[in-house]
Amino acid sequence: MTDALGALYTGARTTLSTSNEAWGNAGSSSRAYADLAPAGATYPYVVYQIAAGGELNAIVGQDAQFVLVIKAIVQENLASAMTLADRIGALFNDKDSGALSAGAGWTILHISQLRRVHYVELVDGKRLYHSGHQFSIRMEAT
Amino acid sequence: MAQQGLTITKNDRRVLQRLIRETPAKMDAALRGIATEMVGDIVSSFGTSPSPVGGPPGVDTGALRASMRWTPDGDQRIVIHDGVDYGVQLEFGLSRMGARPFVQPVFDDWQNGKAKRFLLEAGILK
Repeated sequence: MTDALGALYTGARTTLSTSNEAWGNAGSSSRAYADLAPAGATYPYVVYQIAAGGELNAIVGQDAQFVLVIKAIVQENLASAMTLADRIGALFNDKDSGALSAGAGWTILHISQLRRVHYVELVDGKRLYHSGHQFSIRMEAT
Repeated sequence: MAQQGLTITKNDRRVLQRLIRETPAKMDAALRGIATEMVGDIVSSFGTSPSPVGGPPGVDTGALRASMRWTPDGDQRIVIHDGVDYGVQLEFGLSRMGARPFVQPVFDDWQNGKAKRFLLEAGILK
């Protein structure tokens, strides 16, 4: 069995790269990155990162609850940033048991969309919009 | 991390909603106490700089840490916030800088045990 966070990251990556999206075509060319994009990554791309969580201790077996941030990073196009945030929400919000695959040994029971994440940074004179959501994710070991 | 048996239950919520109606001053004091404790937890989570990605930020100038506070925001509502413009960038990261979440972990702790323990110790929940 993999680590719970590892399984969650696997599930997030799989979900974000299953079909052709604005952040790249399906599969390995999808620009969905864990924690931090590589230097020089092409815009737009998506980053997913843990914000909080860990073992839940609600049952005797292993279970976990995480807050995961998933956001699109878009250069100089506010409307596109909003659209991609909406797409991220559609991919993850309210996905109940079995709807999304996690890594080996874990199942994702429920995903709830929490707070909206949106802010801008200035890089080399251009605006980079970070736009997405926080999600609360409940998992159990299988 | 959740603490077993210390999750706020539906019954707890009913008790709290009744107490908000019947003893608003007592609940307001409890809310302010929780907010003060949460700000304290956020402030004390800061480490040394440079901090690793994924953990709370390290202290450089101390401006962010010193700016953490809570502010009443209407009836039975308090907002915990910083007073600088780069807190959100640390919490969620930048294109060339990984996130250093320092607010969400504390909220997570309080949602999953600390809030109920506080309310039990204050005699509000039994």
